Amino acid sequence: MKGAIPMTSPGLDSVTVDIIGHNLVAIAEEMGVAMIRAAYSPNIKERRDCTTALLDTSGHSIAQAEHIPIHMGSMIGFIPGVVAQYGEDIHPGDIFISNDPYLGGSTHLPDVTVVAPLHVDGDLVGFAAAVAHHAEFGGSQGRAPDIYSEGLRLPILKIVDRGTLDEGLVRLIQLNTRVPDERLGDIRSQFAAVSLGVRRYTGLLERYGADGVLEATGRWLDKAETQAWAALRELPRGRVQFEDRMDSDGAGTENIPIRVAIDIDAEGIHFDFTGTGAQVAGQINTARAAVEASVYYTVKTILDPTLPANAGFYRIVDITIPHGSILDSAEPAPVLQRSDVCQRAVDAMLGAFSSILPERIPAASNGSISAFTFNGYDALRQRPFAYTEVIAGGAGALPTTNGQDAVQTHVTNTANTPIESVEQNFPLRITKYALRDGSGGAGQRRGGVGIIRELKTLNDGIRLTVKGDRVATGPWGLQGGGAGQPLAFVLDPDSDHSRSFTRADNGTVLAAETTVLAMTAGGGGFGSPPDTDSVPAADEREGDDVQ
Amino acid sequence: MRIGIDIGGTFTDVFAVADGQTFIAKVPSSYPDPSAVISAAVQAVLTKAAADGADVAALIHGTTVATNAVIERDLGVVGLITTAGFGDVLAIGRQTRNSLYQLDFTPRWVPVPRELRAEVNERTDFTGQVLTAPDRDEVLAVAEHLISGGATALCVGFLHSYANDANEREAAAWIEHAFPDIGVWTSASSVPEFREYERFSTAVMDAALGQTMTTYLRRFTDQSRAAGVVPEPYLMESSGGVVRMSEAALRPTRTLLSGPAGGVLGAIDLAKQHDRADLLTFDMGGTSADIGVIREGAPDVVGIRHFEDLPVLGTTVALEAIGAGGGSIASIDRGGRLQVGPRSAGSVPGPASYGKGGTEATVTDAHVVLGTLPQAARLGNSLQVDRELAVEAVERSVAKPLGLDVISAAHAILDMVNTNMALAARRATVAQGIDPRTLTLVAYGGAGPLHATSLAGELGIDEVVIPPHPGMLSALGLLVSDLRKEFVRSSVMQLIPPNIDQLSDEVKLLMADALAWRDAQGETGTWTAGIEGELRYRGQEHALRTRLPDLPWDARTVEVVKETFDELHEQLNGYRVTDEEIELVSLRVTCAIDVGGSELQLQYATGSGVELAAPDTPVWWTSAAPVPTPLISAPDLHHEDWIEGPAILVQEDATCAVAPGYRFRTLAKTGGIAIQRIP
Repeated sequence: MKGAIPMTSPGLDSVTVDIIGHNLVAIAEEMGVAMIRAAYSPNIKERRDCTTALLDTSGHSIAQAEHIPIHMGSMIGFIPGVVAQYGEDIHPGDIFISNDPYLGGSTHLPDVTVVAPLHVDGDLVGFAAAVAHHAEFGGSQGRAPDIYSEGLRLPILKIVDRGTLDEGLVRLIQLNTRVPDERLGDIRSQFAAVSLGVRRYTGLLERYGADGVLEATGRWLDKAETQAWAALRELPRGRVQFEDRMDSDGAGTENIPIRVAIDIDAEGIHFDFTGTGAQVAGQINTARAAVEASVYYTVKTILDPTLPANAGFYRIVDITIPHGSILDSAEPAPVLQRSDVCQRAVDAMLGAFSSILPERIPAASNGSISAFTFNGYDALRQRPFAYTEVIAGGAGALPTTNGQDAVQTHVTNTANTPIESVEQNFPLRITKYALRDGSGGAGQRRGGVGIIRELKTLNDGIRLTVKGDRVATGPWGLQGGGAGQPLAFVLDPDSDHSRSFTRADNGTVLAAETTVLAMTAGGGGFGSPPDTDSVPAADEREGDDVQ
Repeated sequence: MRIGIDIGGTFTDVFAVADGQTFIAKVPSSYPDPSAVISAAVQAVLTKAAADGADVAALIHGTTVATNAVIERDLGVVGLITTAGFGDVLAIGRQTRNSLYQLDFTPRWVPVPRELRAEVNERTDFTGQVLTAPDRDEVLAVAEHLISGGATALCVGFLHSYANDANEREAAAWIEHAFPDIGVWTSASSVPEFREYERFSTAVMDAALGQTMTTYLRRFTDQSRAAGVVPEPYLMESSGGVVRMSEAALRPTRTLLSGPAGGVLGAIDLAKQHDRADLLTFDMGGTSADIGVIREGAPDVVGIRHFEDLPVLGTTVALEAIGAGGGSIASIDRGGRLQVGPRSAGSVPGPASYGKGGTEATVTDAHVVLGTLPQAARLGNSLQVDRELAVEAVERSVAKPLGLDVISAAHAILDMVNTNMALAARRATVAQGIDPRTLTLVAYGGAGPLHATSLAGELGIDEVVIPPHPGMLSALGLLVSDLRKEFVRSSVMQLIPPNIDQLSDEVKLLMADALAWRDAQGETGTWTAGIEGELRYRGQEHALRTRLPDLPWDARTVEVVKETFDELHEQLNGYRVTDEEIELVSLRVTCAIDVGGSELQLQYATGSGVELAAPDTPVWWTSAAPVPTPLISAPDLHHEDWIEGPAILVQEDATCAVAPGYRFRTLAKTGGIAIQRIP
């Protein structure tokens, strides 16, 4: 809608702008509800790993339903691609699809983006978009040296042409994925969401008039910018810096620096990641859009959590990332596990802010999107299966309170799978699900503890893949607080053949009756720990679930 | 005579019906023991009806005792005994945080602390097969440990007990025998559904509320006896059915929406008298609004609700709640956006116009500025509003920051709160595939009738009904409900012909339980029982509640159920899957006994008819200029022909605004008011 918006001499009153703004947000949210309702797989339906939004023709978000921060702004690159490629050939009733991070379609291949154009009197003004994390989208079940082996790459394609589905493309997708019906069910839920977005947007145009809606949209974004400026003025000006590290890419590179310098001045807030390590052979490289989403998450968190999730506040943010670095990798670097690096980028930014906002910034949280994935054939139910569990960890301690135990932090917020549900569906038996005692960093305020999840395979031939960083050094503390315990995966613990399992082992086939133990990282502590002799006051212990 | 008693924070409402005649009483609620006024409240209505306690055939109660106890954390100390390896399930929850962008997000509420969670060796698998039976000595040792640690109630929650609760029941029986003074709950008896965190959480809350509820219900029963009432009172559950008080104490979580469910039933009954069965119920009070959908006379229900962020399983009337009420505060945020609610001025200090020290502009103040709540009218409790204070607050909080005159600012506040409520109503209707234009809006609660035509206009609804006592609809709803109970069995089974005999046997067992329950009730009213299943395509996690055919079942039943499910899935989710098997996650028999609710033929007291007042109150229906508007006493209104708006209808518990462009009339059958957009 950029360019179509008269930025001066507003014709609408401020409250009408707000009311139309609320309606735009409600459309994005209703799209999200529609997608979750129609989705087939538990990944979208139960864990809500999906996002819906209305975007302008430059790909900027007008309104977004908030489920997962890492999806914020992750559609930026896709829209200009659609416009450049299809130009005049974009019609009402069309739907476009892509999942390729190097074309802006998403930030890794399982995230599939679907968009439908919004028109006003025949003119293209924006898109309704739905991103969903599919349980798998083809590719290897272990390590992958490049993006080609990480799954099926979809360039920007028109999958529905004025209401007619491209059946051939659907067959191509189904042939390249392991649970084709589930893929189709989930893609259909995305179609349902974007089609609904178009219908609701058309309804809004009928009600308030095209000029009214377009003007209100521009001013709705302006208000977010105003709000962001008001908050930014409360921060001290100057430069802050921080360097954090990724422990390992699983393919031979260790101690990869993630460096950020943040400048706050009259021009806005500038994030410069120069000095960050080069892209690596392992699957932890990142498409730029995922890092941008992580920056927007951090800005919203630091400035004002009530900032609406739209591009209005992006305007005060400027981002520099060296191309070819692990934060803006060049094709065909593999990116499947990029989210751990996104968490680390957030850690680095918060670390930098902690020097000017010591009373607000927590110590490092678990720092990964830790997960294990099991693929194979289920002998009991006689079908192939794929099960991924994302396991939360400890949150970093705050200056005033202990870190929350066992909770998703920063760029993710997906739920767990109930134990009873796992056992109903997969050849696995869960043997332990517990808080990981003692894993929170020591301190005046201790870090939140991580999680123990342990299970046993019930038949042969199951492939294991793990994900997560902070495997060598635990999440850092602040002001003298200790580090949390690092993440670890162990096979057959407490046996004579116990061994640790890392990214480098991904794709290993397990025998039946193998026990797999995941222990996620605890958060860092805040402040020097009290003397071990002195007993903490009763009120300090209150609310502690674990000592 | 039948009596409904709905206890709210400020007032206790009593609604009685004898031979079709209705009598009402309103007494101040008592604190901290809300049951203390029951005897007096019953007496008050008996006196009005010139009856005595022996005439009372049924006493039905709607309560907020459990709800308040949860909010105030006034709970018993529960010890949880669970499967070895899983003692922290309750502490981990679903591992999510409740606020995405707040670094200091509120930690999740863990209702049982670590020192009161114990593990025992036992295990059942997902098919219900016992892998390890519990050991008596171990169970008793941990029970003793928890009791000596301060637990006043114990909850036994084992994995897969929804499929087979033998281990849970055995452990509970040992404990009950050894510690007869301690209440023992099991997760499967609270709610036999899969998903361990949600089931344990529900059972723990039942246990935590058990003592409070038992004491309260005993006091309530004593009070009703003191008033001469003989039958055991009933309690309204969140599902919209009633249970006997002795049973209610076992499952307190099922009363968490007792009051709102009563309101929904009242709305259904009122509308039924006017041959309306598809409704949007709209209950707006001081701090929040609840919006519900009724189709073919039955409320939509959900299987899970969150209270204080804690999940509670169980059939509950589906209500979309939004922080929008008369006390909702209007302010301008840093982006220059007008925000109305969810912050509320509550009853203390209340809206600025109440003159009790409130200075921030509220929705009520906007009405006072515009004249829809006229200074001349006295509100409930004979409160008189002060327009000058309202003008001052709206001027300062909204008009000045936005550069508006005070009238436009007051309209802005109402436009915003009406937009928020309309969007909530759209979530309850449009987002569920329901066209709101096909519904009749029933508006109640203290503020509902003031916003009814605005909300109807936003949603394209042409017809509004206002009950005769908008603030007392919950008490009326208590009178019309059935005695109701659900019997559930959960375990995952494929819906295929070879399994049909086993499925059929499961249903027969449930039916046998249901019949035994019916016979134990000693009621003679009409009995109904329906079979439902939670179904999904294989590979899905989420299941849809689907109506199943009555017994007997045979191989052909599979086809019938598949077709029903496919259709439902297509209607709700937009597609059907033809080549995937259907899984049944649970079977449910819901039975109801008519305990007199259906026979109520209310003859509502209607006014004797008054001359319509002169249009002499200025109301700013638009920002342009005030329109002289008549102020009419609603209870005295008796006018079955349409009267053109505008008008303000005033009564003790609610004020109703009829905007220009709408017309209204008395509904002779019920004494309610119909409002229509003038075609």
